[in-house]
Amino acid sequence: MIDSSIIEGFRSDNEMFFKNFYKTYRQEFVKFLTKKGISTADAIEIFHESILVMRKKAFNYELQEIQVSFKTYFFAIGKNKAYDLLNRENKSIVFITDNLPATNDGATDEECNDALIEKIKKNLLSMGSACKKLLTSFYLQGLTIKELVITGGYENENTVRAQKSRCLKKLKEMINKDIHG
Amino acid sequence: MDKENLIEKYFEGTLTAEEKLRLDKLLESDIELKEEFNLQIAIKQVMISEGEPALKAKLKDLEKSYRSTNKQSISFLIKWPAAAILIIAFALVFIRTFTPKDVHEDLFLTYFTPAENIHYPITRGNVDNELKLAFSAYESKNFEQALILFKQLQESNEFNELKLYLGSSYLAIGDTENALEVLIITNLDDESSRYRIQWYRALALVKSGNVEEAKTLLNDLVINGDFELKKAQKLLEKLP
Repeated sequence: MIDSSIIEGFRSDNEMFFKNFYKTYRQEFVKFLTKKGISTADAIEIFHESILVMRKKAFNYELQEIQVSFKTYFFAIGKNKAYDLLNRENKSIVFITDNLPATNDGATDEECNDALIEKIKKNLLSMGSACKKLLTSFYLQGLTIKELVITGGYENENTVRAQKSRCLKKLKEMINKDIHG
Repeated sequence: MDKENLIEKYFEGTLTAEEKLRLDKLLESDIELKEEFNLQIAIKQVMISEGEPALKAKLKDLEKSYRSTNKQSISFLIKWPAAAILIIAFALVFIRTFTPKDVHEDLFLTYFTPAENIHYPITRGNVDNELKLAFSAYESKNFEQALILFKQLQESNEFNELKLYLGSSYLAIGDTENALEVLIITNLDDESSRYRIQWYRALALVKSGNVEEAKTLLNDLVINGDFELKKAQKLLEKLP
């Protein structure tokens, strides 16, 4: 099980959390990979990439279901990244006795279309700030509709739902306009 | 429960196993719903990826400071072995004596993020407005500058809610004493401020090691409040 304060930390941009995290795990993680034949520079790069993977998983609620400890899981992500790197370089790597679990390092189970992603990026930028704030609070910060009533000063849950639906509709229209010229 | 509610719960992270199965089945059979769902997934992934460049830059900075700290301590150990032994001995005594303080500090660091500006939104125009300048500094995390401006504004007694942002700024720069002096709950506080001030006061108390008083505030927040309820509950469970 992964402690919820770690998951919350990855979901935040709390500088102190990342500073503490770096101080706690950097040395051991890099040592773990360099012992397997990865260069220090690559090990540091993998450490950074693994942190980004953990962040993504935290946002996608994938860490709540993990049954092993945080450290075991985090190091397994690093091991997989090391495999990927060495495969790209046509080298082999041996992790004989680490007993680390298999992990899925993809962002999410659902596949996203690259062209659609680009269009969303572009149109989110030009959206009104109220809509962007509402969508970010819901999709990224994971605030529930109930919480949005309080933080956004809405009348009730239905008002939030209606506003969210209007914002999504607006975004869809902008994307469609973009696709069809 | 209708389809929209299932999707809503998916993004809130509150789907039960049974509801997840229902949603999966619906997505297999309803093409329109699948399209709508995929669009929302894509929006979320874009939002997640938007924060990555900033985090990458932050990690590079952390690596730089990690290396420079490491380099300094290694060269010190080589040059001054006797002094290093004394320092290590002192550190061991220090750790044994002050471990509880570290626990409080760690808990504070885990749960503290500067208060979100909900009272004085920065809008276009009024470029020279002092309030806008203060919150621009605050939102850019330039807390020292924000404190100077907030203090000037506070003298006018016009902005009661400023104490929340003053307290939050003091906490961000590690000045717990002053934070506790300004984060005081009064009858003048409106509903939206009261429990925010209470949350940040509780955090300041945790940091200063005043656990019992922090627990009282957190318990009241969990029962009666409307802000950071989950975090307050978790913090309560972790407090020694």
